[in-house]
Amino acid sequence: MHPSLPVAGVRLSLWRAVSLFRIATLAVCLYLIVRWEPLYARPGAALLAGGVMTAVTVALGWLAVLGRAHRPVVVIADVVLTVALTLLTIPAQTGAQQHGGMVTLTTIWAAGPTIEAAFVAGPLGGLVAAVVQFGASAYVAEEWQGRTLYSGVLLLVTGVVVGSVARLAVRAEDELRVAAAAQAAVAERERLARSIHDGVLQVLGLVHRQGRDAGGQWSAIATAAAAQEAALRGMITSQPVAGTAVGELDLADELRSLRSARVTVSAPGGAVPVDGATAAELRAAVQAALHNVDVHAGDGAHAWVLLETLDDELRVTIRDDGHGIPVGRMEEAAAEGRIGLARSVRGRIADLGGQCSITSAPGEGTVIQMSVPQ
Amino acid sequence: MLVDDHPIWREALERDLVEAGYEVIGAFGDGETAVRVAPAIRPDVVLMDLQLPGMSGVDAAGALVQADPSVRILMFSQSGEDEHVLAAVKVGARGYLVKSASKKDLLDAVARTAAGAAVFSPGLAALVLGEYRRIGRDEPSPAAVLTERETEILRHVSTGLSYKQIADRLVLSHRTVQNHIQNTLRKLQLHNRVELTRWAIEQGLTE
Repeated sequence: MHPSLPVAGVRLSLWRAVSLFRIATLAVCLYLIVRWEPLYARPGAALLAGGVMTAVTVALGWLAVLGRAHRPVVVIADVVLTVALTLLTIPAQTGAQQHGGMVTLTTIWAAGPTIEAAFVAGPLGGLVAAVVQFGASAYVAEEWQGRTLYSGVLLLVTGVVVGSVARLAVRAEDELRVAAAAQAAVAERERLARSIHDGVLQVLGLVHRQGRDAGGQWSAIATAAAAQEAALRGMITSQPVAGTAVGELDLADELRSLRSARVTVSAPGGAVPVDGATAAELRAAVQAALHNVDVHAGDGAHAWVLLETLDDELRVTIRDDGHGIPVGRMEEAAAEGRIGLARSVRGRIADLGGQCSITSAPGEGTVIQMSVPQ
Repeated sequence: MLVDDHPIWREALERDLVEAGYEVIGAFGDGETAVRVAPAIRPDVVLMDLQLPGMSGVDAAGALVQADPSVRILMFSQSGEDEHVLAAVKVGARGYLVKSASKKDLLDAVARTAAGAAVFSPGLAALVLGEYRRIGRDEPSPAAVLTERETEILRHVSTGLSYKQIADRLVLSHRTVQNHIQNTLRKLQLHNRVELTRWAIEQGLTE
């Protein structure tokens, strides 16, 4: 987050909370200063400290409400000022008061910068600010044990715990914001898909149907409309399907993406989750087979792809209504060292531990059946 | 009766049907109206879009069949076959056609539906095959099992063969192929009703 921008959300709430803490503790400090004023060595110094504490609290509270307190420079200034005010205890109180257990002028109010540092810089920031503050209090009391040590440990724990919790809360909020943005993008996409479906796709579909029936020059327009319709539909429907785990793909969806005006893809209802690598290989094999139909089956040949999920295997059948492959043609191609169907389809399926059969007769089209264990 | 929410499609389809000699006794843009009006006009054949605003095509088909089990509903949609098509035939629709089918295919499908035959697209056949396999896995029932012949025929339909081509390959009559396909649909609809009843009873017992 850019430091000059006002903060919002969790950060703003945290700062408002610490402002309230500062105001409440300021009241305690002012009460003690007024109550003990006649006893101090230099009452003027104590009153000055109370005045500055009030000014700091008001200024910080104002910045916090505006959302502009969440800056390292503000927190560092606060740490330094608070330490200075704590050290003002030395001229204000008598030696007996300082060493005899009377609390410093800033007492519990001095925990504020530790909490703020924890907001801005996490557990480490909280820890550093707490050590600095503890050092100042211990210096005033000239002792490193007893009550000073006890409140010092509390301060350190506060710094670390508040830092951790604030960091978690802020991170959770940021993640939530990212998720909300993603959700909004999906919603927008769905809205677009709906409007494309209700508008453009209906017209393209009608042009396809009427144009083909009209024949002549219209059939070329019909074919173009059908191709655009299939492409557009693929675009608005290709999104991850629920029911597939990470690293898995919906094989039915993968194969459906191969649909076109000349390719019909049929699959069972619901997702067919398959691990990503297998799905990609199967899709590539089907694509190779369809490419073969395009090149060899003749103009106007149509291909049908059927996906079936049997108990222990996935089966994909591809049939076309083209010329068919003449007897011996495939062996010839293999002997000539050309890749073609044998390598691109059979090889892929064999790598997946599956089987592949190709049956064809001249004029009867070709049927390729691939079975892969699952 | 014709149900499609897109006026351009409604007009085009109505024109084709009227030209072919059919009487279109109602053309509606939403399922609610179709379900409300159907008992009064009693259509023989209903041509219904799967994707309708408000009441879905599946729900409308179910309501029409419930009101009059003899009604013959042919579903059609533009987006190809998905679970909605399967849901529609499970609640009693007699067949499915893609919207991009040619005028000839459409009239042929309507004629077959009117004659009481089931109209299966390759996609619908694959969905029905898949559904039987799912039932075999998740809720086995001796009544919802395909014979080998039925499986074979559905696989042929799924890979684009026409009923006539299938009849030639398997040396069966066209009529026999049609009966086999109709049987697969009938068993599925029956299984669906049994499951729904069982579900309703279970809900009643647990409440």
